[in-house]
Order: sequence, then C-alpha cells, then structure tokens
Amino acid sequence: MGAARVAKTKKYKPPKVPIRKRLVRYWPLYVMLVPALIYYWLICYVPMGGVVLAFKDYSFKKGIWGSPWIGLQYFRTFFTSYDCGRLIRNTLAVGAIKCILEFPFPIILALLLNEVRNMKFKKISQTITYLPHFLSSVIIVTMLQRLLAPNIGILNQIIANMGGDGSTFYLMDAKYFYRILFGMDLWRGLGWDSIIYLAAISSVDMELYEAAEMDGCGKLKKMWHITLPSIRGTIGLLFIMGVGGILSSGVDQIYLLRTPGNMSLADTLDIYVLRIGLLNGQYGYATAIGLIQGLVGLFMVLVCNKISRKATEVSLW
Amino acid sequence: MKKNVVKRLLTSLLTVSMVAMLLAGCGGNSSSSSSSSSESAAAKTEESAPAAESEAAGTEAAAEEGAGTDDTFIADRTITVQVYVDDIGNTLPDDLNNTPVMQEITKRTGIKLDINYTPGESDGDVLSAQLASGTIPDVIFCYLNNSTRPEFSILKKAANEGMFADVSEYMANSKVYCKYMEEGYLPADSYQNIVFRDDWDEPGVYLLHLSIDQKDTSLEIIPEEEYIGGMWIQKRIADDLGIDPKTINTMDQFYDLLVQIKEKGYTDDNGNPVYPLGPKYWGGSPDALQYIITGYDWGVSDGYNIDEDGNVKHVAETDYVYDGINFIRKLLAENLINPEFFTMDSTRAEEVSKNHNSAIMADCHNYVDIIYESDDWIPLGPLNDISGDNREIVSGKGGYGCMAISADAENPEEIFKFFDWLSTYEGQLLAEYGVEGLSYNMVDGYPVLTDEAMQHVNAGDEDWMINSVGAAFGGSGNYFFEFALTDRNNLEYFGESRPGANSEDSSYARSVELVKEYQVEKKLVPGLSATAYLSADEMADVNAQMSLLDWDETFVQACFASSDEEVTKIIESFRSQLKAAGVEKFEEYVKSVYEEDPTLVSFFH
Repeated sequence: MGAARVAKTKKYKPPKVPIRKRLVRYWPLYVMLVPALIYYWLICYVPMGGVVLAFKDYSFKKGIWGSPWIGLQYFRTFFTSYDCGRLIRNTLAVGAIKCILEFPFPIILALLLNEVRNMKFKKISQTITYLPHFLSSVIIVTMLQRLLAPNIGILNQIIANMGGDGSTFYLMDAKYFYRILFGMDLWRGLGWDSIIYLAAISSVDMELYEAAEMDGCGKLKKMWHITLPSIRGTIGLLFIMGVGGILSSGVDQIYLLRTPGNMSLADTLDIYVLRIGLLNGQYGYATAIGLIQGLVGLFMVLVCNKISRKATEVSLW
Repeated sequence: MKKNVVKRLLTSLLTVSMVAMLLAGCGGNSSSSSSSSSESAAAKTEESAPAAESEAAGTEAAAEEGAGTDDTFIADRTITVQVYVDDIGNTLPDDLNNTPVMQEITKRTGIKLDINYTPGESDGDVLSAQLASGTIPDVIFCYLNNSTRPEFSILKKAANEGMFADVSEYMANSKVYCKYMEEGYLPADSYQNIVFRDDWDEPGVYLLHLSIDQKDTSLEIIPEEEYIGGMWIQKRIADDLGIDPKTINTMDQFYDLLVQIKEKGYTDDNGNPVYPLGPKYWGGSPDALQYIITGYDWGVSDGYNIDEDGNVKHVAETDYVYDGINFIRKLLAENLINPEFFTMDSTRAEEVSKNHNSAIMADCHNYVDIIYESDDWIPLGPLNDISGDNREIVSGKGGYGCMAISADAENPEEIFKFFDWLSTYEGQLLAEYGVEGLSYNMVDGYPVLTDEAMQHVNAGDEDWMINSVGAAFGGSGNYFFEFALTDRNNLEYFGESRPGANSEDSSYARSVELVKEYQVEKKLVPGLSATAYLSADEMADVNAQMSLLDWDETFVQACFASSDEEVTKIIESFRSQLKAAGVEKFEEYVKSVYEEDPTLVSFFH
C-alpha cells in the first residue's frame, strides 16, 4: 500500500539532508537494514546471474560460467518448435484464470466479511476460508481425485443417486480442466488473499460511513461509494503485481492435475520447463523459456502500471 | 636461559607425541592387516565347502574366486555412495557400518560405506539435478535396465563431460569386472551402448552395468528364478466361469471373457460391482497395455517396427494404431475396464486389487504377497502377439542398474576394487546371506539359513534383516547389497535362487509352484529396441526433440477422446509432431542398421 501513490495530490517533501549526516544520525536503523539487504542480494539477485544459462551450452563439469556461449539458439528452437503456440496459449489461459478470473473473489469475500457484525461467526468464517491455504497441492489434488473419481467419487455418486450418469471421469476430460483448476485454486487461495483487503478496509475512516448514513446510504451504496474507492489503491497494486505472473501457471497444481486426457490444455510453459529441464537435463533450454516468462511478466507489469496510472491514478511507481 | 628451557621442553614434548603417533599408526596397520589375514583364512574355509561340491563349472569358478581372498584388504577408508534408487533408500539400516554384515566387510576389506539417498519426485529427477550441480560423491548407483531408459542420456552427458572416472585400466586385473571384456559376456546393449561405447569424447569405460547374469539362461525355465508377470484373474471367477485361463490367447477370446465377467455381475469384498479389467497392482499406467492389447501391438520395438516394404515406422504412422485404440475405447464404452486403469494412484490400485475389485489385474507377478500368500489369483493368458505367438519374448541377458565412480574421487581404483570384490563369491555370500553362524550355516557346500533367520525372512521382518543382520536376503532386506552386485549365478553359487528358497517352509513356495504350472515357453528376439539407437551421436538433435514426445500419453488421450474424429485428430497431431522432431531421419538410420545386421534391432512380425 505504501508503494502505491495517488497522482496529482500534493505530497509533503521533507528537507534534503546529506547522506553522510543521515547515516550518522540514523546509524542504528541502517545497521538493522544490512541483514535485509544481504538477504535480498544473496537470495534474489545473485541467483539471477544464472539466466546466462539461456545463452550457454551448459556443461555439468564446466558449470554456468565455464560453459560455451551459443547465442540465441534456444530461443530460436523454442519459437520454431511444434509446441510453442499451444504452450503459450495454454499458459495464457491458466494465467488469465488465476490472475483475472479469480481476482474479484477475495475482494467480494472481504467486503462480505466486513459487513458481518457477529464477531464469533466472522472469526470462524475467516479461519475456515484460510485453512485450505495451508494444505499442500498434493493433498488437495489427492482429495480431488477421490471426490471426482468415476462411479465411486462423491460427486458422481450424488449425480447417480439423482438419476444422472455417474461415470464421468472429470480429470480425464479436457473440457472440465479449466473448471476444476479454477475451483481448486479459488478454494485454496480465497480466504488468504482476502486478508490484505480486510486490512485495507479496516483502515477506512469510519466518519465517512457515518456521513453516508446521514445522507441515507444503504449498505450496498456505502460499499460501492466508500469502501471500494477507499481500497482502490490496494486493489490496483495487487492486480498489477498479479498480472506479472500471467505466464507462470504454477507447476505443482498443474503437474498433479495433468492426465493424458487433459494434457492438451494442461501442458503449460512451467510443465514444459520441468520436463526438458529436470527430466531431460536441457538446463540451458529450460532457462531460456524461464527467461521468456520472466521478461513477459515484467513487460506486463510495466504496461499495466502505465495504464493504471493513467486510468485510475494508482500505480506501483 | 629460561627461553632455552622452554624451547627444549616443547621440542621434547613434540618429539614424544610424534613418536607416539607413528607407533599408533603402525599399530593400526598391523592390526588391520592381521585381521584381514585371519579373515582370509576364514574365507578360505568358506570357499572350500562349495569347492568340494563343485561338479558344475560355475562352482569351480566360485572356488577360484574364493582362492583370491588371501588378500582382501583394500584400504582403510570410507566410500561415500549416492544412490538414486528408492528401494535402496527405503531399506538403508539405521546404522549401516555397525550392522554385522558391514562390520564383516570392514574387517575383510577395511572399507566403510556412507550411503546417501535423496528422495524426490522421481529418482531420475534427483540424478539429473545432482549431476547438473557438477559435484557427486565417490560413486553413484542408479537404475538402468538398458540404454533406452531416460536416465541414460543424462549419464552419457555427464560421462562425456568428464564427471566419471575411466575404470578401463582397472578392469583387466579385476576379479569380476574383467569378465565384461570377454566376448559375449555382456548383453549387446550393455556392451555397445553403455560400458564399451566407442563414441566417448575421451575413450574409456565410465559406466558399469550391474546385475549381469553369469550365464545366459534367458531361454531356460528355472522355476526358482522365474517371474510370471502380466495379467492375473481371480481364481473363483475363472472356476465359476469354467474357463482355463491358459487358453485365453486371442484378442477376441479376451474380449468375450470380459463380457462374460460383466454379465455375471460379480461383487468385491465390499459388495461393490467388480470391474472385469482393473489396473496394475502397482498403480494405473499405460505400461500395462503391453499385456492387454498384445495382439494389436505392431510397434514391438519400443513403438517401432519394419513394414512389408522394409521401411521402419512408428506405430502411430500406421493404421495398426487404431486397432489398439478402438479396442480400449470399446472396453471403456461397455464398462469392461476400470476407467482409472491408466491413472489410479498406487495406494488405491493396491486397495482395489486386495479388495478383489478387479476380476483381472492388468499386471502383477508371482513374488507379490497377494499372489503367493493365497490361492486367490492365477495367471491369465498370455495373449498372442502380432505374430500370433504367445511365447514370452526374451532378448538374452540383461542388466538392471548402473555404477559410475566420480572423476574427483580419491583413489578411484580402491572404490572399483571394493565393488569388484563385493561381486565375488565371497562378497555375494556375505551380501546376500549375512554372517556365517548368525544368519546361515554352510551345509554340503551351500549356505542354508538358520531357523531363526528363516522365521524372520518368512515373516517379512525387514527390521531384523536390515538392522540386525544388514544383508540383502534376495532383495527383501538391505537392497543395496542386492543392487550393487553383478556376475550373478545364485543357483550354482548358493544352490537356490534366493536365500531360503529351498526351504520347505519358504513363503515363496507358491511362487515357484505357479511357475511350474503356468510358465509359457520363451522365444528369443535378438537385438535392441529401436529407440536405443537414438543415443547415437548423429541422432543427438532428433533425440532432443523426440524425448519430449510421449506416445503412451497420446495413446491414452486418444482412448478417452469424445469421438472417432477426435481420435483421428489426436493421431494426426502426433504424426506431425513426430515428423517435426525428425522421425524420418531416425527411421532411415535404424533401417540402415537393421539392413546391415537384422539381429541388431528387435523387429518381428
């Protein structure tokens, strides 16, 4: 929230103090900052050097820096490969489900929870919706396999008891893949993702609501005219950050949900990277595709940030 | 003055301590050499017993190897081993070097082992990731049935990049591995593609194929050693239907049987309807297709075969592909096959087999407990292959695992010598049976498990086998000592196929009985699977693309397609992918190999 800014508002600018003076004056704070800087440097930036693998013929023995350069060969191979179009299409579809389709639901849940006046019920509801976030994908997919199994799965048994066809093999049918993925991912992340919106809502000035009430606003109008505009910065910020991951479908869920029946849709760039990188040992090629994903993500963030700044006055920077 | 006194004092102390250390070092050496010589005497006694019985040449060979145990001491060191074999990882002793077997090994050779296993999504992934890190411990072990396994391309890359030590110079003077150099000892694939490849960047021997049988008995039927794989039918159902499962050989007969089972409406242990055909005991997988559509499987050489015009083709490029797909689609449409046949996880698959939910299990074998512990299941078929023959196809001797010593290992010769010793008669006896007097006694020249050991083995007491003894017990105990061996000849060395197999109380008695009753003849189809030739250097670009294609998954996808048009679309798409990957170049290459010598590729009609 702090990183977001609302344009065209006059901001307080503190008087400039030379860096040396600041260091002397606030040295305990700078010392406390050092571990964080070291952490980000070592964990987030140093490994980024590994992207050179995308331009190298990786040798186990020579390592990343000693391997010979091969230019853009991996990129050419990927963009001319038979699967390229399908993989990008599938990845974008999964990315759109996760980043765009699922996006409003945590906001709606946060708005609903905000209106609950019975604190006991609110806390129980929140806890129940958070819980799935802590389950691993393996457990969730295993549960899904049991629930959706043909003939013996709970869903099929319910359908059969109601006189329908209880033999549908949902996980083997490509047409159900996106629905299953959407349902599963939403169930898992809904409660957790709503926390940040609830926090934003709690900081909305109560006087605004009181004023609106005096003007005769009902619950829906207060939600629409006060709550939502007040958390617009948070919504915009999270949306921009989410869009960056549109080409990253997430490996674990898709890998576990993937069956021969739905692989025409479940083969995404992440799965492809896993197969060629880990299973076939083509690390350079896998890195090249990972780099493409990263660059596209960065591009999307930049574009969305710019559009958002112009259209809604909310942006990351 | 004071300074001088202190200096002298320090010098004297240093001298005394150095002398003490030297003496201690000598003492250590003498004790280890004396222990090794006393052990070698014991080992000699051990060898003399089978020698007395040696009528067979193999036993003589064993005796000769035994005679070589005068000097079994190798080095006083610890060898760090990384294994990429889940079965080894699951059966490692809590304190390996303090098990009786390992203590005995250390006494005789001076060697201690530090075996590490890293679990992962699959052993192949872990192998790939660890090799890519550029550092491996002294020696690695991984699965490698043949050069068509996916691990091989990674191992080949690592060997070419100098990660493994060249052991060729040690082989000539070895006790066991020298046999690999003899003509005809190694299977053709092991010799040409794995051990003695002639296209390494630096000529040498980097990969050692393991579990090679001393003699090629692949065409013989030895009940104590045979595995009956493939389909198994519930005996009560076969009896009720009044069929002889051995006579179900054609695809039509098989289909009719499934229909009959369905019509009878059998139920499982929980009262649920039985599926006529269920998944493999170990979990749903397309692997089981080889047993259920045998008569339609034209691509006998890992998906490839040679057509009437002499051209090599992938089955997907021919119309034969639709026979198999349509058969499975018919079974699915008529509810004759469990819809989760290809995808069921191992836990549930085991459960449906144990609950008798499948009238026919697609694949199991006679050494799985549900088979040998009851009379519930009997083998079905096998079905005839594309040539109308239901004999079991064998391609001669084969291997199972692979060992490679790190190029950075200290004294790789010592590591090589140790594993060479482990595969001698002396090493194998210790590795398989444990320590004499503790878990076995020598009777008429052969090891016989003690009554206590027999009880533990029959009860499947893994803790006793792994931690209290530390031996392999035919793979039921510490699996590392089963996996790391080669030059196997259990019948001639030990008089039985596995420890305790000859005992009347053996829990595997039914496994052997089943072989006697149901084992079919065998036929030899020499040569390698066509895909073994993808590892040739000139096929590197094709191999990189082909390795991303998965025919089995595409086949299953077609089986579950919503319409015949969609099946055609899926197959056409796969054909395009094959073409884009360079299949034509590969097929031309295999054709030239086959024309030069038809015994090099396992094609048949």
